[in-house]
Amino acid sequence: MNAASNKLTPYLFMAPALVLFLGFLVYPMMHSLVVSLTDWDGLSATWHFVGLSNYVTIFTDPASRAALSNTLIWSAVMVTVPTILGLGMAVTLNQKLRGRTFFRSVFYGPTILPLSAVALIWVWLYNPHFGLINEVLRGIGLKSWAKGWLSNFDTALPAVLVTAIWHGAGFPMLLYLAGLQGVSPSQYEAAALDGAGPWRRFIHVTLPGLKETHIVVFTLAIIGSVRSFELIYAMTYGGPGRSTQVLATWMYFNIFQYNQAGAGSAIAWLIAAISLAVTIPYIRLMSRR
Amino acid sequence: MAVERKSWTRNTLLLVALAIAAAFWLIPFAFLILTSLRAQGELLSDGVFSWPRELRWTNFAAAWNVGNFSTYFANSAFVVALKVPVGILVAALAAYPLAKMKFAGERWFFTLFLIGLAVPMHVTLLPLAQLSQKLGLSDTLWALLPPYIAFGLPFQILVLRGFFRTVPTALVEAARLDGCSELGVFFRVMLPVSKPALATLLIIDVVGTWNELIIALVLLSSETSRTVPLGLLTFQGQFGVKFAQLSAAIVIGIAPMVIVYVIFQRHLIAGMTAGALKE
Amino acid sequence: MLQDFVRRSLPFAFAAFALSAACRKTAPQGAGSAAPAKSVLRLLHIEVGTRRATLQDVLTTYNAQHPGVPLVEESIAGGGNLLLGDKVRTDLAAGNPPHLFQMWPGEIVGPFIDAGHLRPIDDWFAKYHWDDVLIPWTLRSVERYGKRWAIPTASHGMTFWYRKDIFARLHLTEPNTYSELEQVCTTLRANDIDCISLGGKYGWLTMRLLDFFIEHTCGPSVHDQLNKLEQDWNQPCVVDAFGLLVRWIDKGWITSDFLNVAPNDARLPFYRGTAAMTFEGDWMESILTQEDEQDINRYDFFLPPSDHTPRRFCGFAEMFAVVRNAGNEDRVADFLNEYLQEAVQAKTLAGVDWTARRNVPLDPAKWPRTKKWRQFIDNGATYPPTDQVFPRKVMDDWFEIQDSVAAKRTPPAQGAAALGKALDNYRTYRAKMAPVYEDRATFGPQGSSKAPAP
Repeated sequence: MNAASNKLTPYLFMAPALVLFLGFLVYPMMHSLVVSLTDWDGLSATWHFVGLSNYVTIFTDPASRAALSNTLIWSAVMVTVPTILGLGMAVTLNQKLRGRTFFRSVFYGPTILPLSAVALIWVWLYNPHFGLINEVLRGIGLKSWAKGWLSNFDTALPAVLVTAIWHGAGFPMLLYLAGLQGVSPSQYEAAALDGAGPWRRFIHVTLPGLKETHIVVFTLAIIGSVRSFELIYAMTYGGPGRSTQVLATWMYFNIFQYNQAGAGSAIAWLIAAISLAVTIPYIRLMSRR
Repeated sequence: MAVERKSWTRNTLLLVALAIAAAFWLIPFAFLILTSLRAQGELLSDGVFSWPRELRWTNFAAAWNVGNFSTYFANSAFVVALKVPVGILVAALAAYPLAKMKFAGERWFFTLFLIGLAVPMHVTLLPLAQLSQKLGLSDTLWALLPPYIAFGLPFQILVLRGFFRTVPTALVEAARLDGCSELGVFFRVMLPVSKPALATLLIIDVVGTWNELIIALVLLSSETSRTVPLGLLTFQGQFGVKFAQLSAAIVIGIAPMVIVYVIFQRHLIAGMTAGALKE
Repeated sequence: MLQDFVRRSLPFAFAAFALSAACRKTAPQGAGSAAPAKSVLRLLHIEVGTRRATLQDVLTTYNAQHPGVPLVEESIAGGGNLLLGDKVRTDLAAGNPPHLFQMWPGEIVGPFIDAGHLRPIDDWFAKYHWDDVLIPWTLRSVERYGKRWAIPTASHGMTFWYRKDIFARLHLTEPNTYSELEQVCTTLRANDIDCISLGGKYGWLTMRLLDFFIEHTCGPSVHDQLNKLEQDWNQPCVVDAFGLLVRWIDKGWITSDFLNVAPNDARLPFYRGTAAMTFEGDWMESILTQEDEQDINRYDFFLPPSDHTPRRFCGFAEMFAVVRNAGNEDRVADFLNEYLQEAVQAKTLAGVDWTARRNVPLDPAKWPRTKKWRQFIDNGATYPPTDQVFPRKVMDDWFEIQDSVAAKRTPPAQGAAALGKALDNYRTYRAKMAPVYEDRATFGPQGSSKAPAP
């Protein structure tokens, strides 16, 4: 192999991915970047450039700001809770334990459901008139706790979050389980010989050993939660009022319901910017060799 | 003795805790399946969580026959069978140099792929529809493959790059010294030791591809080219929803996913292909 | 080890392909070649199940009797009836337009007209004399800028449906005045039954009850002027309407915590008998008997007792919108004419609750409630649901205010003030944009060379 082909090798390896990626993802992205600078309604053949005004509007319009703050709340919960839960499940179910395959399957199970199906069942569970959750609460004497979980301005977002956690915890669990296979048993043996208890072994061996997995899990959690759309769309449709609008549903409403493709595209780029502003420095930091 | 008893107690407590958690996790599934077996009238009059008076197994046949579920199934299977292996291979090819080679623009390329991860799908729908129209792929299943693969790449590259990085460089160097070409190293060393990661991606990707709705909605039109998620819309009419049949259709729709999971889950924990790393 | 992985993966791939092959009844048209371009006339709609089968039957018959480019229907159902609009939008933008699509009046079809995508079809109305047979108020709902852009295909009415068995048990009769309606609710509450089950998700069902309150408190002419923005929304009768909404909630007449209950789920308390009424349309009969397996003898409806003459109800049309420059115009026109014939309309009325034709024959033994509805719809006075009067963005402001009043986060007076402000803004915006929209509607998506500046 000569030097020239050696230099080309990495690019040749990446070539098929780059072709598809540039054609079918980057091109549409750039299209939306251009649209975000216009007043295009998404339907007509004409538009005008409006500079950054769509971006400015996001921060001046109260409804957009509310969607932004809901997104931050949503993301804060979805980055921490399912991740910790998934890590706990993975570590627990990585031990030799009776029925661990069964438990893994159960906790991973929700992720194979289409989100529309998840919404169908959970909306019923939460229903104020025939929902199981309220029936159980009444049954065990907590009648005052029963409420219209999704209809109440204060509980609607947390209720959807619970569903999202149920649906999403299996995903980091699966990634962590795969990651745990890379932590060499000899390190545990060495730590055990040093007299480290289970907790210290977890802190000093497991967590550092999962470094590459943490990168993947956190990156996905951040990006996935900032652009999270389907559950809110299907379970509350942004309501009651606009109390559960998040950026991704707000983007959809702008483009497809309000005939404001320009404004919607700007929201899309804000979504991308938020997630990248967090993840890229994080990945850079973690990827130092 | 004391240690053994302690560990026995601990395991039992753990099992009980897991069993309780699993029960909570399974409740929604249980009601999905129960709903799929109920009569619509009784389901609505008695309430979704009431005790069923009869079990209506014919819901499954009805759900299968409403619309063209056999066609939807065939179409989804076709897309999954092409998209998943090709997509993962393309991603793995790209992830290898990003993890194990030094080259100009390495970080830049990786960041580029990451940006793709952050893009909300909805803003890409219009350009994608225009693209597939221009390429003459409109309303064919082929139209789904390029965007599906492209949207899968960022995540898969991220995961595989991470996994490839954990493979000891010594192993790669040894293979190179043995006269392996880079392609040889990739196929003979990287892919085999990455089995757990590949299996993980495969399970995730099969599910993601099988359930994808919005791109399919935009790029496909006619009945003969529709996929399973589009078929599920068939039960949700303007004024009413056939809840029982819809649930039956959902159960039918996830059955292949369950099978894929059962087949491949063994590889998730296959123990990093034993000897490979220790040698 | 790679071989090992491939060996284990291959069966999966083969199985998937085998499934793909085995399931296929016909040639893999979707997978095989690119679809032949423009070889069909596409009708996009939202119907499913037996309702869709009726449409398919109509198209099959037409294609058989009128050889030519075949008309095909594509059902874009689900997702709160919103996916249809999403699909039409992307198809139009991608240069793959349908020829006809089902749509709702006013500001729902409005953006498609304003963007220049629909064809004015006044010439077809003149040629085929459709005016002679169609219900007048449905004709008004396909008009914009003095032109017609669609044919009305359905005419619906919405009002209070009630449980006859519960009314009989409590010796209640259909109320004829608003105070009698309150009496009914009071009696029901005293017997531990919710007066009305409401599904507030998406906002529009709560709005239709509020529309009724506005019709009652403001009266027909003011209600119409409000909708035309000729009156300020921030006025006493609107405050009173909000006040009634709060009153109904406070008295326990509406099912509790209804704000995010889906309209379909709101039927459960009604079927179960824990609520005695619901707010539904003329389609309810077919839902009761064909989909939800209920006994129609238990259910009936009465027109909303608004205390005004005429006693108007909420009415709206549906339409097939005609896409500009989609090709094969003559065949599209011929199909629409055929479609509006009485025999076809009798079929669609019985099968999809669809007709905008007057006096379409219907078997009263099979469709007793629909038959009763038709006399009101054919001859009655209607007001439009507000979500067709104002654009989605304004309506979402409205829904936010309405939900906030219902949740008692905003007092009625403040709600009316907020509504007044939102609609003032819209009035200004509309005045600015109307000339641009009308220009595009008239001359197509590019507009004319002398398009007015916004």
